[in-house]
Amino acid sequence: MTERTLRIEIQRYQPEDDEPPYWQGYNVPCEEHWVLLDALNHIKDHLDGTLSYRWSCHMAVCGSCGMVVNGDPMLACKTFVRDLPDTVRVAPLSNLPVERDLIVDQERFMTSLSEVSPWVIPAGTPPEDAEYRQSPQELARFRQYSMCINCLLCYAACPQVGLNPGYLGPAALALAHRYNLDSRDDGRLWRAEVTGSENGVWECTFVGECSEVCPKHVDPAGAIQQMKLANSLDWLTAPLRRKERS
Amino acid sequence: MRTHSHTPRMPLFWWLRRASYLRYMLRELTCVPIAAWIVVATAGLVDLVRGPAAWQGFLHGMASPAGFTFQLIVLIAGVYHAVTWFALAPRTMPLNLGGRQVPGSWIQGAHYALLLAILVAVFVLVEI
Repeated sequence: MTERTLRIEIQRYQPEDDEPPYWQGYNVPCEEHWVLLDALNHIKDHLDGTLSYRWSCHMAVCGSCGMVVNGDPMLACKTFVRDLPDTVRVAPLSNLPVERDLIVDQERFMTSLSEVSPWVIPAGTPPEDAEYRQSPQELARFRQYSMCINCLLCYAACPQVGLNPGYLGPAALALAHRYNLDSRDDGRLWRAEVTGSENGVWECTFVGECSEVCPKHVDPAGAIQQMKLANSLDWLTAPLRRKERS
Repeated sequence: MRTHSHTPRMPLFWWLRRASYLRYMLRELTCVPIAAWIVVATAGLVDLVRGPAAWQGFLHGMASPAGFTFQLIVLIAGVYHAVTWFALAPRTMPLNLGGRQVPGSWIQGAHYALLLAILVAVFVLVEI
Protein backbone atom coordinates (compact mmCIF):
# COMPACT_ATOMS: atom_id res chain seq x y z
CA MET A 1 0.00 0.00 0.00
CA THR A 2 1.34 3.44 -0.98
CA GLU A 3 2.30 5.70 1.88
CA ARG A 4 2.76 9.42 1.71
CA THR A 5 3.90 11.66 4.52
CA LEU A 6 1.61 14.59 4.96
CA ARG A 7 2.59 17.62 6.99
CA ILE A 8 -0.51 18.56 8.95
CA GLU A 9 -0.48 21.85 10.82
CA ILE A 10 -3.32 22.13 13.27
CA GLN A 11 -4.63 25.16 15.09
CA ARG A 12 -4.47 24.24 18.76
CA TYR A 13 -6.29 25.94 21.61
CA GLN A 14 -6.47 24.91 25.26
CA PRO A 15 -8.84 27.12 27.21
CA GLU A 16 -7.23 26.29 30.57
CA ASP A 17 -3.88 27.74 29.41
CA ASP A 18 -5.35 31.19 28.79
CA GLU A 19 -3.15 31.49 25.68
CA PRO A 20 -4.33 32.42 22.19
CA PRO A 21 -4.53 29.66 19.54
CA TYR A 22 -1.25 28.48 18.02
CA TRP A 23 -0.18 26.14 15.20
CA GLN A 24 1.29 22.73 15.82
CA GLY A 25 2.66 20.55 13.03
CA TYR A 26 2.69 16.76 12.66
CA ASN A 27 4.25 14.52 10.01
CA VAL A 28 1.68 11.85 9.32
CA PRO A 29 2.36 8.72 7.23
CA CYS A 30 -0.87 8.45 5.26
CA GLU A 31 -2.18 5.58 3.19
CA GLU A 32 -3.62 6.44 -0.20
CA HIS A 33 -7.22 5.61 0.65
CA TRP A 34 -7.24 7.68 3.83
CA VAL A 35 -9.43 10.67 4.41
CA LEU A 36 -8.25 13.58 6.55
CA LEU A 37 -10.15 12.16 9.51
CA ASP A 38 -7.99 8.99 9.35
CA ALA A 39 -4.90 11.20 9.51
CA LEU A 40 -6.29 13.06 12.54
CA ASN A 41 -7.11 9.73 14.20
CA HIS A 42 -3.51 8.63 13.53
CA ILE A 43 -2.24 11.76 15.28
CA LYS A 44 -4.61 11.18 18.20
CA ASP A 45 -3.72 7.47 18.53
CA HIS A 46 0.03 7.56 17.84
CA LEU A 47 1.50 11.06 17.96
CA ASP A 48 -0.44 13.34 20.31
CA GLY A 49 -3.31 12.13 22.45
CA THR A 50 -4.13 15.66 23.59
CA LEU A 51 -5.57 16.68 20.19
CA SER A 52 -9.33 17.30 20.37
CA TYR A 53 -11.85 17.17 17.53
CA ARG A 54 -15.36 15.85 16.94
CA TRP A 55 -16.20 12.88 14.79
CA SER A 56 -18.57 9.97 14.72
CA CYS A 57 -19.87 8.30 11.56
CA HIS A 58 -16.88 8.59 9.20
CA MET A 59 -19.33 8.71 6.25
CA ALA A 60 -20.63 12.29 5.85
CA VAL A 61 -23.86 11.62 7.69
CA CYS A 62 -23.41 12.84 11.27
CA GLY A 63 -21.97 16.26 10.39
CA SER A 64 -19.53 16.22 13.32
CA CYS A 65 -16.12 16.57 11.68
CA GLY A 66 -16.48 19.96 9.99
CA MET A 67 -13.24 21.97 9.95
CA VAL A 68 -11.40 24.48 7.80
CA VAL A 69 -8.82 22.78 5.57
CA ASN A 70 -6.42 25.12 3.80
CA GLY A 71 -9.00 27.88 4.12
CA ASP A 72 -12.01 25.86 2.92
CA PRO A 73 -14.72 24.52 5.24
CA MET A 74 -14.88 20.74 4.72
CA LEU A 75 -15.87 17.51 6.38
CA ALA A 76 -12.68 15.71 7.42
CA CYS A 77 -14.33 12.37 6.62
CA LYS A 78 -15.11 13.43 3.04
CA THR A 79 -11.70 14.92 2.25
CA PHE A 80 -9.27 12.41 0.75
CA VAL A 81 -5.61 12.97 1.61
CA ARG A 82 -4.67 12.11 -2.01
CA ASP A 83 -6.50 15.31 -3.05
CA LEU A 84 -4.54 17.45 -0.57
CA PRO A 85 -1.16 19.15 -1.05
CA ASP A 86 1.88 17.99 0.96
CA THR A 87 1.25 20.58 3.68
CA VAL A 88 -2.21 21.03 5.10
CA ARG A 89 -3.45 23.64 7.55
CA VAL A 90 -6.41 22.54 9.62
CA ALA A 91 -8.37 25.04 11.72
CA PRO A 92 -11.69 24.93 13.55
CA LEU A 93 -14.81 26.18 11.74
CA SER A 94 -14.63 29.96 11.27
CA ASN A 95 -17.13 32.42 12.75
CA LEU A 96 -17.88 30.28 15.80
CA PRO A 97 -16.29 30.35 19.28
CA VAL A 98 -13.57 27.71 19.72
CA GLU A 99 -13.96 25.48 22.76
CA ARG A 100 -10.76 23.46 22.32
CA ASP A 101 -8.48 22.71 19.34
CA LEU A 102 -10.85 21.89 16.45
CA ILE A 103 -14.02 21.88 18.54
CA VAL A 104 -16.38 24.83 18.15
CA ASP A 105 -19.28 25.92 20.31
CA GLN A 106 -22.48 25.04 18.41
CA GLU A 107 -24.81 26.90 20.76
CA ARG A 108 -25.53 29.70 18.30
CA PHE A 109 -26.84 27.26 15.71
CA MET A 110 -28.82 25.26 18.27
CA THR A 111 -30.54 28.42 19.53
CA SER A 112 -31.23 29.65 15.98
CA LEU A 113 -32.63 26.27 15.00
CA SER A 114 -35.06 26.15 17.90
CA GLU A 115 -36.15 29.73 17.16
CA VAL A 116 -37.38 28.88 13.64
CA SER A 117 -39.73 26.09 14.86
CA PRO A 118 -38.25 23.30 12.71
CA TRP A 119 -41.21 20.93 12.82
CA VAL A 120 -44.49 20.49 10.96
CA ILE A 121 -47.10 22.91 12.26
CA PRO A 122 -50.33 21.44 10.90
CA ALA A 123 -53.41 23.46 9.97
CA GLY A 124 -56.19 22.29 12.30
CA THR A 125 -56.14 18.77 13.68
CA PRO A 126 -54.28 15.94 11.94
CA PRO A 127 -56.44 13.46 9.96
CA GLU A 128 -57.97 10.78 12.18
CA ASP A 129 -57.24 7.12 11.41
CA ALA A 130 -55.26 8.13 8.32
CA GLU A 131 -51.81 9.23 7.40
CA TYR A 132 -50.98 12.53 5.79
CA ARG A 133 -50.89 12.00 2.04
CA GLN A 134 -48.03 13.58 0.14
CA SER A 135 -47.34 13.23 -3.57
CA PRO A 136 -43.81 12.77 -4.98
CA GLN A 137 -44.11 16.29 -6.42
CA GLU A 138 -44.95 17.71 -2.98
CA LEU A 139 -42.01 15.83 -1.48
CA ALA A 140 -39.69 17.11 -4.22
CA ARG A 141 -40.43 20.72 -3.22
CA PHE A 142 -38.66 20.41 0.14
CA ARG A 143 -36.60 17.21 -0.05
CA GLN A 144 -33.34 18.97 -0.90
CA TYR A 145 -33.58 21.15 2.22
CA SER A 146 -34.20 18.16 4.48
CA MET A 147 -30.75 16.78 3.61
CA CYS A 148 -28.97 19.15 6.01
CA ILE A 149 -26.74 17.30 8.47
CA ASN A 150 -26.12 20.35 10.70
CA CYS A 151 -22.37 20.24 10.03
CA LEU A 152 -22.13 24.07 10.14
CA LEU A 153 -19.77 24.33 7.17
CA CYS A 154 -22.20 26.97 5.89
CA TYR A 155 -21.75 29.01 9.09
CA ALA A 156 -17.99 28.91 8.57
CA ALA A 157 -18.33 30.01 4.93
CA CYS A 158 -20.82 32.83 5.52
CA PRO A 159 -19.20 36.22 6.22
CA GLN A 160 -22.52 37.56 7.50
CA VAL A 161 -22.41 34.97 10.31
CA GLY A 162 -19.03 36.39 11.29
CA LEU A 163 -20.08 40.02 10.94
CA ASN A 164 -23.53 39.84 12.60
CA PRO A 165 -23.56 37.91 15.87
CA GLY A 166 -27.39 37.82 15.95
CA TYR A 167 -27.89 36.41 12.43
CA LEU A 168 -29.76 33.09 12.51
CA GLY A 169 -27.48 31.68 9.81
CA PRO A 170 -27.85 29.59 6.65
CA ALA A 171 -28.63 26.11 8.01
CA ALA A 172 -31.34 27.25 10.45
CA LEU A 173 -33.04 29.35 7.77
CA ALA A 174 -32.81 26.56 5.16
CA LEU A 175 -34.47 24.21 7.63
CA ALA A 176 -37.21 26.77 8.26
CA HIS A 177 -37.73 26.88 4.49
CA ARG A 178 -37.87 23.08 4.39
CA TYR A 179 -40.93 23.15 6.68
CA ASN A 180 -42.47 26.16 4.93
CA LEU A 181 -42.47 24.17 1.68
CA ASP A 182 -43.97 21.05 3.26
CA SER A 183 -47.55 20.44 2.09
CA ARG A 184 -48.50 19.26 5.60
CA ASP A 185 -47.31 22.49 7.18
CA ASP A 186 -49.21 25.69 7.88
CA GLY A 187 -46.61 27.46 10.02
CA ARG A 188 -44.97 29.76 7.47
CA LEU A 189 -46.44 32.99 8.85
CA TRP A 190 -45.61 31.86 12.38
CA ARG A 191 -41.98 31.23 11.41
CA ALA A 192 -41.87 34.51 9.49
CA GLU A 193 -42.02 36.35 12.84
CA VAL A 194 -38.45 35.09 13.33
CA THR A 195 -37.18 34.46 9.79
CA GLY A 196 -38.38 37.88 8.63
CA SER A 197 -37.01 39.67 11.70
CA GLU A 198 -33.85 41.77 11.82
CA ASN A 199 -31.80 38.61 12.49
CA GLY A 200 -33.48 36.61 9.76
CA VAL A 201 -33.26 36.36 5.98
CA TRP A 202 -32.66 40.08 5.44
CA GLU A 203 -29.23 39.80 7.04
CA CYS A 204 -28.20 37.60 4.11
CA THR A 205 -26.52 39.45 1.25
CA PHE A 206 -26.33 36.40 -1.03
CA VAL A 207 -22.61 35.80 -0.92
CA GLY A 208 -23.63 32.25 -1.81
CA GLU A 209 -20.67 30.43 -0.25
CA CYS A 210 -22.94 28.54 2.16
CA SER A 211 -24.29 26.57 -0.79
CA GLU A 212 -20.87 26.10 -2.37
CA VAL A 213 -19.41 24.41 0.72
CA CYS A 214 -22.47 22.32 1.64
CA PRO A 215 -21.45 18.65 1.54
CA LYS A 216 -25.08 17.61 0.98
CA HIS A 217 -25.88 20.11 -1.81
CA VAL A 218 -28.65 21.78 0.18
CA ASP A 219 -28.42 25.33 -1.26
CA PRO A 220 -29.26 27.41 1.84
CA ALA A 221 -28.55 30.60 -0.17
CA GLY A 222 -31.34 29.77 -2.61
CA ALA A 223 -33.68 28.95 0.28
CA ILE A 224 -33.00 32.29 1.94
CA GLN A 225 -33.65 34.29 -1.25
CA GLN A 226 -36.93 32.44 -1.76
CA MET A 227 -37.88 33.31 1.82
CA LYS A 228 -37.09 36.98 1.14
CA LEU A 229 -39.51 36.91 -1.78
CA ALA A 230 -42.20 35.19 0.32
CA ASN A 231 -41.55 37.62 3.18
CA SER A 232 -42.00 40.61 0.86
CA LEU A 233 -45.25 39.21 -0.55
CA ASP A 234 -46.48 38.54 3.00
CA TRP A 235 -45.77 42.14 3.90
CA LEU A 236 -47.65 43.38 0.82
CA THR A 237 -50.67 41.16 1.47
CA ALA A 238 -50.77 41.76 5.24
CA PRO A 239 -53.59 44.39 4.96
CA LEU A 240 -55.73 41.86 3.05
CA ARG A 241 -55.22 39.22 5.74
CA ARG A 242 -56.14 41.75 8.43
CA LYS A 243 -59.34 42.56 6.47
CA GLU A 244 -60.18 38.84 6.21
CA ARG A 245 -59.81 38.37 9.95
CA SER A 246 -61.99 41.36 10.87
CA MET B 1 -11.90 24.39 36.59
CA ARG B 2 -13.43 27.28 34.71
CA THR B 3 -12.79 27.16 30.98
CA HIS B 4 -13.65 29.66 28.30
CA SER B 5 -13.88 29.68 24.56
CA HIS B 6 -11.86 31.68 22.08
CA THR B 7 -13.98 33.90 19.84
CA PRO B 8 -12.15 34.70 16.60
CA ARG B 9 -12.48 38.24 15.30
CA MET B 10 -13.47 38.85 11.71
CA PRO B 11 -10.45 40.39 9.94
CA LEU B 12 -11.02 43.73 8.18
CA PHE B 13 -9.94 42.24 4.85
CA TRP B 14 -11.99 39.04 5.18
CA TRP B 15 -13.16 39.54 1.58
CA LEU B 16 -9.63 38.88 0.31
CA ARG B 17 -9.63 35.40 1.85
CA ARG B 18 -11.47 33.71 -1.01
CA ALA B 19 -11.87 34.56 -4.70
CA SER B 20 -15.64 34.08 -4.33
CA TYR B 21 -15.75 36.71 -1.53
CA LEU B 22 -13.90 39.14 -3.78
CA ARG B 23 -16.32 38.49 -6.66
CA TYR B 24 -19.19 39.11 -4.24
CA MET B 25 -17.67 42.41 -3.10
CA LEU B 26 -17.21 43.44 -6.73
CA ARG B 27 -20.88 42.65 -7.39
CA GLU B 28 -21.89 44.75 -4.40
CA LEU B 29 -19.55 47.57 -5.46
CA THR B 30 -21.28 47.85 -8.83
CA CYS B 31 -24.03 49.76 -7.02
CA VAL B 32 -21.65 52.73 -6.57
CA PRO B 33 -21.20 53.62 -10.29
CA ILE B 34 -24.87 52.84 -10.90
CA ALA B 35 -25.92 55.19 -8.07
CA ALA B 36 -23.56 57.83 -9.49
CA TRP B 37 -25.22 57.36 -12.89
CA ILE B 38 -28.65 58.00 -11.34
CA VAL B 39 -27.34 61.28 -9.89
CA VAL B 40 -25.83 62.29 -13.27
CA ALA B 41 -28.98 61.29 -15.17
CA THR B 42 -31.09 63.35 -12.73
CA ALA B 43 -28.77 66.31 -13.34
CA GLY B 44 -29.33 65.77 -17.07
CA LEU B 45 -33.09 65.90 -16.56
CA VAL B 46 -32.72 69.13 -14.62
CA ASP B 47 -30.62 70.58 -17.50
CA LEU B 48 -33.28 69.45 -19.97
CA VAL B 49 -35.91 71.40 -18.03
CA ARG B 50 -33.62 74.44 -17.78
CA GLY B 51 -33.46 74.83 -21.57
CA PRO B 52 -31.58 73.99 -24.79
CA ALA B 53 -28.30 75.64 -23.73
CA ALA B 54 -28.14 73.75 -20.43
CA TRP B 55 -29.06 70.49 -22.21
CA GLN B 56 -26.33 70.99 -24.81
CA GLY B 57 -23.88 71.64 -21.96
CA PHE B 58 -24.90 68.33 -20.36
CA LEU B 59 -24.50 66.45 -23.67
CA HIS B 60 -21.11 68.09 -24.17
CA GLY B 61 -20.02 66.96 -20.71
CA MET B 62 -21.16 63.40 -21.42
CA ALA B 63 -19.23 63.36 -24.72
CA SER B 64 -16.00 64.52 -23.09
CA PRO B 65 -13.27 61.92 -22.31
CA ALA B 66 -14.19 62.03 -18.60
CA GLY B 67 -17.90 61.64 -19.37
CA PHE B 68 -17.19 58.79 -21.78
CA THR B 69 -14.97 56.98 -19.26
CA PHE B 70 -17.61 57.42 -16.58
CA GLN B 71 -20.31 55.94 -18.80
CA LEU B 72 -18.05 53.06 -19.79
CA ILE B 73 -17.46 52.23 -16.10
CA VAL B 74 -21.22 52.42 -15.44
CA LEU B 75 -21.90 50.15 -18.41
CA ILE B 76 -19.34 47.54 -17.28
CA ALA B 77 -20.69 47.67 -13.71
CA GLY B 78 -24.28 47.36 -14.91
CA VAL B 79 -23.53 44.43 -17.21
CA TYR B 80 -21.49 42.66 -14.49
CA HIS B 81 -24.32 43.12 -11.99
CA ALA B 82 -26.98 41.97 -14.46
CA VAL B 83 -25.05 38.88 -15.58
CA THR B 84 -24.23 37.77 -12.01
CA TRP B 85 -27.79 38.55 -10.86
CA PHE B 86 -29.42 36.65 -13.73
CA ALA B 87 -27.13 33.70 -13.00
CA LEU B 88 -28.56 33.58 -9.46
CA ALA B 89 -32.20 34.01 -10.56
CA PRO B 90 -33.03 30.29 -10.95
CA ARG B 91 -32.14 29.76 -7.29
CA THR B 92 -34.07 32.83 -6.13
CA MET B 93 -37.18 32.12 -8.15
CA PRO B 94 -37.45 28.41 -8.88
CA LEU B 95 -40.57 27.68 -10.93
CA ASN B 96 -42.75 24.61 -10.79
CA LEU B 97 -45.17 24.29 -13.69
CA GLY B 98 -47.58 21.36 -13.85
CA GLY B 99 -45.62 19.47 -11.20
CA ARG B 100 -42.33 19.80 -13.11
CA GLN B 101 -39.36 21.94 -12.25
CA VAL B 102 -38.67 24.56 -14.91
CA PRO B 103 -34.97 24.31 -15.96
CA GLY B 104 -32.76 27.08 -14.59
CA SER B 105 -31.57 27.98 -18.08
CA TRP B 106 -35.16 28.84 -19.05
CA ILE B 107 -35.50 31.21 -16.08
CA GLN B 108 -32.18 32.85 -16.94
CA GLY B 109 -33.20 33.01 -20.59
CA ALA B 110 -36.49 34.69 -19.65
CA HIS B 111 -34.55 37.36 -17.77
CA TYR B 112 -32.34 38.07 -20.79
CA ALA B 113 -35.41 38.10 -23.07
CA LEU B 114 -37.13 40.62 -20.78
CA LEU B 115 -33.97 42.77 -20.70
CA LEU B 116 -33.81 42.67 -24.50
CA ALA B 117 -37.50 43.61 -24.76
CA ILE B 118 -36.97 46.60 -22.45
CA LEU B 119 -33.88 47.70 -24.42
CA VAL B 120 -35.83 47.50 -27.71
CA ALA B 121 -38.77 49.40 -26.17
CA VAL B 122 -36.46 52.14 -24.91
CA PHE B 123 -34.68 52.31 -28.27
CA VAL B 124 -38.02 52.61 -30.11
CA LEU B 125 -39.22 55.29 -27.67
CA VAL B 126 -36.03 57.33 -28.10
CA GLU B 127 -35.71 56.97 -31.88
CA ILE B 128 -39.35 57.48 -32.87
